[in-house]
Amino acid sequence: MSAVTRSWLVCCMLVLLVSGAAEAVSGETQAGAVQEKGPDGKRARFKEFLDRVHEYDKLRNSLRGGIPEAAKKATAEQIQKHQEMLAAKIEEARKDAKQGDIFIPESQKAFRDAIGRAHSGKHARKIDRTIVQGEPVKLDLYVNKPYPDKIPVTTVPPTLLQHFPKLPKKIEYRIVGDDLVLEDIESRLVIDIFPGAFPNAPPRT
Amino acid sequence: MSRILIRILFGAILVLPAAAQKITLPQAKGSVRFAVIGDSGSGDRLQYETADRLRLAHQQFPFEFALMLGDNIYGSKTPRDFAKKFELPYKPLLDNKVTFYASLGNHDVPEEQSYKLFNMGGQRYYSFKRGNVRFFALDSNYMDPDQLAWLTAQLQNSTDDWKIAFFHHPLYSSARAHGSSLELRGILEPLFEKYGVQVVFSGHDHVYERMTPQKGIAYFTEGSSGQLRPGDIRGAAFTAKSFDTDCTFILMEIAQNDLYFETISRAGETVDSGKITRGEAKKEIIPTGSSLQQTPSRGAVSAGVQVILTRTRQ
Repeated sequence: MSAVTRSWLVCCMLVLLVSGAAEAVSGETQAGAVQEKGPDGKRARFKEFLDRVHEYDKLRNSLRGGIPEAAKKATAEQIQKHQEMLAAKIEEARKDAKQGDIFIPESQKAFRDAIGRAHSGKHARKIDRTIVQGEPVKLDLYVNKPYPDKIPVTTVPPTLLQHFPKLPKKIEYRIVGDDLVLEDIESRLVIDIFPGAFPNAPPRT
Repeated sequence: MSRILIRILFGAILVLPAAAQKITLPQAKGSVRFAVIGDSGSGDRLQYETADRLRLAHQQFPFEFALMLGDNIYGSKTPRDFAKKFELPYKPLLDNKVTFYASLGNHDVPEEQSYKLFNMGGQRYYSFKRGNVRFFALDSNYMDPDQLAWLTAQLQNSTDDWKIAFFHHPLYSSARAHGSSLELRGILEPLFEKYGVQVVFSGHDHVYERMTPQKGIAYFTEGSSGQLRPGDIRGAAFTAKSFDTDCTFILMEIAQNDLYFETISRAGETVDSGKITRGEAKKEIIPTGSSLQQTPSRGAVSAGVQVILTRTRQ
């Protein structure tokens, strides 16, 4: 085998090795992306967070007993009574609740990663625009205290909701200032706050 | 003295159209008739006066129900607020058995879904049917994957002639305050287009604006039934008609393949009107009336609906 032929063979092998490696990396990325989009992927990433949210949900459901149900066709008085009575029971049951009980550091990291992934895509500018158009607010909220009903609800960008784990019914994410907030929409109580979840958030009023 | 005269003259300008107001919708036998209001729940004079104009319109055009495009109750949400910002201004309509179907805005609280007079059935998003029309009320504050899956399934299963969606944040708007919700448009419009939604109503911007059909869909922004941002409209290539100098509401009538609309101001002026024909593709809009003010009516080619402007001033 001549020196020229040997050189060609080495080159061909190198090319094959490099392209194979590239394919493997690409395969990993795709698999990762699919996992991220799938419910199992999100469940795994946010397991600690979801366990704590479901624990809260169980507590809330157990406290509903004895409170008149806000029916599907309730009066304004019935709605208010149900909300206030439920809030009072939850506030009492969670009187030791503090910021970070649900958004523990590992969960905060998972949310930061999810927000980063959502912002790294082509929708980044649209996400910020959605928040700005939703009349963003900046106010001081406290865990286990109500979200004020006079304050508008900031729109949560749909792209972010696709990256965040699914919550039980009656619990929703809120964006308040730079913070990510969990709200119990039945009692209007703030369940927990992740301060500074959106460090580069658009300006608030 | 001159001030009093000016006031009398100004008052006459406001009152005269009221006397002259005549609804010209066809009122065909068996048609589906409804009103559309948005951003109504301010509880102030603008809401009450617009609601009173709606009451007068109902006397001539007895619509059966009204769509609410969100921001139904601004500010605090005590039972007193529900009375002041909804039950009292619309009492004559409620007494006349008009049914209100609400969607949630960013100034609403989710518990409004349980309020019996909003007829949401305890759901943030829901659908209902009247005649050959299926209505889809969406919660654009919180468009999560569950809601999108529900909407997709509902649209897939709907065999109704007309599909109409309503929610708070506009996919198209040329208003300065908020403008088009582009992220939401990217998610919802492909579904609307794929499953044949013909008409979409939104609020949020406190103006009236009708768009030239986009991808075969007629878009309306009606966010001035209780709030107003005078001079907020910028106008865009998609603007067919706009009005931002007074509060408004829309009257709608669907008779077989035709949807007639008439937009009326608090002062009683018809600021826009026309007809949307289902399934007629690639036809030019034929304006037949003069414009009341602001944006001149604009012709456009639509893929799925044909819009004919029938009259824009009494």
